[in-house]
Amino acid sequence: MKWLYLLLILTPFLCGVLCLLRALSSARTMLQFFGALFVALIAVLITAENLRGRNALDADGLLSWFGPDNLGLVFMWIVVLIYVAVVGHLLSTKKIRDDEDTSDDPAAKKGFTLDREALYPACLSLSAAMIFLCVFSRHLGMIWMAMLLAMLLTVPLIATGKEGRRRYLLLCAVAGAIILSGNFLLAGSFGSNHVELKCDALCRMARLLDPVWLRAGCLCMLVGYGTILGLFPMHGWVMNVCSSPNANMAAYISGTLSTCALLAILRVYTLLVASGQGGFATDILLLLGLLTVCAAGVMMILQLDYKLLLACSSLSAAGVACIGFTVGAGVMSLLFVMGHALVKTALLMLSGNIAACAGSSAITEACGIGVKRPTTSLLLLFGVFCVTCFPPCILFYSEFAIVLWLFVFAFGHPYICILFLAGMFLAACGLIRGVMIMVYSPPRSARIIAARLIAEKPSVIWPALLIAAAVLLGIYLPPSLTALMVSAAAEVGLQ
Amino acid sequence: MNMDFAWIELLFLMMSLINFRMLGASQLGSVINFVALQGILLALLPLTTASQLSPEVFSVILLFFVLHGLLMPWLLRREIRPSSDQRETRPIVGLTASMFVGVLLLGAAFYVSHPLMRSYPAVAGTLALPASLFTFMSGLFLLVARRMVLLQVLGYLIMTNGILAFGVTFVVYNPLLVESGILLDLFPLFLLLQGLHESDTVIYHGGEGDKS
Repeated sequence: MKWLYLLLILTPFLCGVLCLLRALSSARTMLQFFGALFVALIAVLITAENLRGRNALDADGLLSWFGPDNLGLVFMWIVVLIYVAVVGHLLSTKKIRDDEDTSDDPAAKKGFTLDREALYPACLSLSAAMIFLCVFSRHLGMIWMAMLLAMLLTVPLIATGKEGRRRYLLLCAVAGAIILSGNFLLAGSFGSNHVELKCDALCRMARLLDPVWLRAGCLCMLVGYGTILGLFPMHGWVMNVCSSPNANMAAYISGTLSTCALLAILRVYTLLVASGQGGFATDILLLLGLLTVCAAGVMMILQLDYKLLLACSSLSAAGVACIGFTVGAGVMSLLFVMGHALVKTALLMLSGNIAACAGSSAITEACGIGVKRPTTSLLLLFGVFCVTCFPPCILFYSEFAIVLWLFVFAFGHPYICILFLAGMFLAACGLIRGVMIMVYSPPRSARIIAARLIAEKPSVIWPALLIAAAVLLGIYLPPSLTALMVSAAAEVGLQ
Repeated sequence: MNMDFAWIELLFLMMSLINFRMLGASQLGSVINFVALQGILLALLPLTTASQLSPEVFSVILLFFVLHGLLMPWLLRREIRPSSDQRETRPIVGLTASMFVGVLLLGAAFYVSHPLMRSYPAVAGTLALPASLFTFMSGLFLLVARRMVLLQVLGYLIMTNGILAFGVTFVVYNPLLVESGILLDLFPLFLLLQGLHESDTVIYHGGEGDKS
C-alpha cells in the first residue's frame, strides 16, 4: 500500500515538472486535469485499502515517516477535492480566459510571458505534491519541511503584485521560523537523548518528556501553524491572498494550506493530550478560536469588499473548527472542516466570476450582479446560506452539534457561549447583508450596466458541484465516511 | 553533551553584542557585515557544543559558514545600488528607541529562558539559551521596526541565526534536524532572486478567467 501514497505525491509532482516543458505548452491545463483525476483515483484506492484494514504504518526506516492514519485520510480527501475542483475550474474557464486575453486590457498581459504561463501551473502542481507530502507525513520535521515548501511554491500563484507577494512571503517565513523553533524545543525536551520527532513515538513517550520544554515547543508550533491556519491576530495572509484578483488560486491556497495547518495543529494537540497536558492545549486553542470567531464577526459586519468578506468567513470557520476540537466534538468538527472547505472553494470561485464582470471587489461596485450574472448570483446565495449554516447543508448539522458540545463544555462559563454565538451571528449577518446588496440592488457602476449577458455555464459547473456535494453530505452521509470520521476523531482522542 | 563552556559563552556573548550593534545601525552595508559575522559565529558553535567532530557535524559547520557567512551577505550586498540611499531614514521605531527595546528584549530573554534552563542542567547558568532567544527576538523586532525591505530581510536572517544557534546548542545530536533549518533561507533567497524587494512596477496576472 505504501507505493500508493508515494504515487499520490509523485503524480502532481510529475505534472508540475512536465508543465515546465515548452513542448507541452498547449496541453498544460489538460495535463493538470488528468493528473488531478488520477490523484482522485489513487485517493479512492487508498481509502478502499484502508477500509479493508490494510495500512502501512508499520514500516521501518525513512518509510515509517510517511503513511496516513485515518485522520490523514480525512484531510487527504479535503485536499483532493479542492485540488480537483480548482484544476477543473481552470480547464472549464480556459475558453473565457483565452477570449479575454485576445480582446482587451493589454496592460493585464504585460507580465504574462511564456515563462509565467509555465511557472503558474507548475507551481500549482508542485505545491499540491508538497501538500500531499504534508498530509501523509508522520514526522513533525517532515510536516514542517513539506509545509514550508508548499508555502514557498504558492508565492508565484498570488497575483497581488510584488508588495502582496512580499508580505505573504515574509509572514510565511516567520511562521516557518516559529514552527522550527518549536521543533527544536520539542527535540530538546528529550534532554540529550537522540529521539526522532515521529508522531507515534512521541505520543508513546510523551509522559517522559520534560513538561516545560514540551509546552514551550508545542506553544511555538500552535502559534506557527495557527498563523498558517489564519487564526486571529495572525490572519493577515488570508486577507492578502483572498483579495487577489486570481480567485481560483485564492481558493486553492487558502483551502489547502489552512487544511494542512489544521492537521498539524491536531498532531500537536494529540501529543499534548498524550503527555497529560490536554488542558494547556485546550486553553490555547479555545482562546485563539474564540478570539478568531469574534474578530471575524466584527470584521465581517464592517466589511465593504466581498472578497475580504469571504476571507473573514474563512477565519471564522478556522476559529469554529478549533473550538469544535477543543470542546470534544471531533467527528462533527471534521465534517465541518470538510463541508466548509467545499463551500468556501465554491464561493471564492464565484467571487472570481463577479470580479470579472464588475471589475472590482467592492460590494457597491458589484450591485446588480443578479441581473447580469443570474446563475452565479443564485449559486452565491445558495453558498452563502450553506456557509451561514442553513439546513440541509452539512455545515448546519456539524455547527449545531459544535454549539451543543460547547454549551456542555462551557457549563458555568456562559460568557464563552455568548461570545461564540455573538461572533457567529455577526458573521452571518455581515455575509448575508453583503451578498443581498450585491444580488438584489439595482446596478450602479457603469461597468455593470454595460456588461452583457454571457453563457455562465463553464464558470459555474465546479462551484455548483462543490455546493451540491456539501448539501448532499447533509442529506445523506455514507456509512463508510462516518466510520472513517469516527476512527479519525478517536485518533485525536475525541468522539 | 560535551560543551566547552568558556568558548560557548564567548561566542554567545559576541552574538548578543552584535545584536545591539545591529539594533542601533541604519547603514545597510554595516548591518550586512555584522550579519555575516554572526553567521560565521553560528558556524563555529558546533565546534564547542558537539561531543565529537563527526562528518554530520562538519557538514552543519560548512553549511552554516557558506550560507550565513558568505552567500546570503554576498547576495544582499549585491542589491545595494551606489546611486540609492543605503541608509534607513524613516524607521518605524527610531534607532535610540530600538536600543532601549533591545535592553528590554534581553531582559525578557533571560526571564523566559529561566524555567527552561532549570530543567536542562547541562546548560544552566550559561548564556546559550538567553542569547539565542535574544537573537531571535532582535531579528523579529528588526523585521517589524524597519521600512527598508533589505533591512527586513536582514532582520529575518538574524532571527534564523537565533533559531539555528539554539538548535546547534541543544539538538546538535540530531544534525539532520538542525540542517533542515537552512530551508528557512529559501524565503529570503526567493525574495532576492525574484526581485520582490524592489518597488512594485510590473503588473502580473496569473492567467485566470477573472481579472481586475
